[in-house]
Amino acid sequence: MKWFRLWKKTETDQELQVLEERLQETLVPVAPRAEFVEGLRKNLLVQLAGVELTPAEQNQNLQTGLLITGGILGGIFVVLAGIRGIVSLIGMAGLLISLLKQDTQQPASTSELAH
Amino acid sequence: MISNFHSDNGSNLQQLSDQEVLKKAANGDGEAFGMLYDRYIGRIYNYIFYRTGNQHDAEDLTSRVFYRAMRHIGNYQDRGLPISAWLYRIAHNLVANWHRDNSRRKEIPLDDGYNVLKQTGLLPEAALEKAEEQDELLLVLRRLPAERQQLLFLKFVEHLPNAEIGRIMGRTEGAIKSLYHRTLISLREEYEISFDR
Repeated sequence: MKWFRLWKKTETDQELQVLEERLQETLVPVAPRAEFVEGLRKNLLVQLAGVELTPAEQNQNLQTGLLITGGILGGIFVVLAGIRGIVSLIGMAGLLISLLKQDTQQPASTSELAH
Repeated sequence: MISNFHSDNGSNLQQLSDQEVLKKAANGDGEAFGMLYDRYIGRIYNYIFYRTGNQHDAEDLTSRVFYRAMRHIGNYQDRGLPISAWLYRIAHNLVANWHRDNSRRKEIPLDDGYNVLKQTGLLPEAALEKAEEQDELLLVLRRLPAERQQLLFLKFVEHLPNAEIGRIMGRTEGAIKSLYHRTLISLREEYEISFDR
């Protein structure tokens, strides 16, 4: 009868309770190996932070950085100096051309004045 | 320099919530990532161990879970779920791939020495019998669908309440209760079939 089952545990319920107890005994936390845990943590942190640098390596990196920066600045300076040189040459050429023009025009004007 | 996990800053991190630690880890704080690792390594290892049934694969897959988490931590989006849900999701996907790749492989029993009953004061014969029963139960359990295995793991290994299990598995508390009941019934049926063989 259904009303009877309302308060009395059924056979299925009892079986499930036994199963729960077995699960409780069986599913227990397992500790991972300490070497595995430590090793993995170390590897992860190394990968995350990059390889640890010694002071000598750090100095070498600083030197390399300064060389690169110096090279770039030197390059820029050379290019600017080149541009400046070209501009100066063009200016000189222009001046010479204008002087030559003046020289060719001047004798004609003096002869005209003589007449 | 590599962050020292046991530094003074580490003790400050211990007081922070998972979400706060995660935020720091996402910004490249190695120490914070180490803290998350320490909080979850045991839980993830246990989950994978029970899903795979052997120490070697459990270690391999646990490593992959944390490497993957490390690579993707910058993209983590806080949707109000616990971090464990994210890590279990990664673990679940890796275990699923592992099962797929090893589907033709013979089932490996759980490692010897794992069973705590073998270390109890029971008489050798009784302990052995009990251990065999437990191994059998675990083999049957591992034939259940993944989410049911996860539910039993969270309930019995982690002793989490239904509400917390629901948060991790993305279900309501009521749905977890219902799923738990159905899981027990199907486990019992599988167990009976297994014994009848």
